[in-house]
Amino acid sequence: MGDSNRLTLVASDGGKFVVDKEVVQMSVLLKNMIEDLGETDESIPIPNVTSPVLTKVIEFCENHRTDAARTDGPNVDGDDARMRTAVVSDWDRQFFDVDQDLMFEIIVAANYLDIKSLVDVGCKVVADMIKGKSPQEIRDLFDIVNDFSPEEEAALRKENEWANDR
Amino acid sequence: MFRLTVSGALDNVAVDTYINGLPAEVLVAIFKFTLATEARDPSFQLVGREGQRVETSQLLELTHVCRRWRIVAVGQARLWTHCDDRHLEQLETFARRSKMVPLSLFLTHNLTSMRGILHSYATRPV
Repeated sequence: MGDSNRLTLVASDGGKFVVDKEVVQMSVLLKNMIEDLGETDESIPIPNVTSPVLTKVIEFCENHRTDAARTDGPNVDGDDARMRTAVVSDWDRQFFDVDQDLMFEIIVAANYLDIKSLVDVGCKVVADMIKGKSPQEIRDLFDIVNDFSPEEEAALRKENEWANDR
Repeated sequence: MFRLTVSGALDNVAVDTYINGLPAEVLVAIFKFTLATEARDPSFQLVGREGQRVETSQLLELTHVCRRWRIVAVGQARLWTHCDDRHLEQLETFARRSKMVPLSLFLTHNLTSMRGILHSYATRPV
């Protein structure tokens, strides 16, 4: 038997990561999986997450391992109190100081693994990037295509009249 | 790069960029954090009083970025539960998009001008 306090995660590209169970259990998905498996030496495959992304996810969990009750509460859209109290520290901002593709892949992985604190911090970082920007500035920031039809554009112009009357 | 398979109302919406590969519920969370202000926290319980103007520009602008953002935001009734009566068309839009969620109105005019709207959407707490 190996160390019962650690287990091995296997990323989608085969990368293996030996991690403390305490850290892994910040993921509700993995926590439930561990409880179902019981004591085992088997590796846990994470088929939707690549090694670079899993490296970052584990880094976050190790840094936040002492945070209280991170895995409690309902999902991302159902717990306003948790959203209200989500704090983005300097360390968190530094953590997300990465390319946009990696930033969004981390958020997707956190959502898949059900790591609420990481989803919240990621969403808050993205929200701070959006705040105060016009639709065109947001498109430019995230390379989003304006795919509205001419008819839809007309409806948007009407709404702009409400928005501009401050 | 990840790509998300979307279904239903989003079938014909291009997932053209990293941020639009996010699941809809994550995009909603981003919207809520974006809209959080001192007067309107992420729970969307507006702290205000009668006659106060409701800041709606950021919410409306989020729906003007692309079709996916509009579909996702318009589909979230709880984003549309606070409005004032500066523009009756806006009030009607918020009343419609908030669906059956209780609606908080911040009024400066008398109720006569918006009687029709209120009658149309009076099947839930107002």
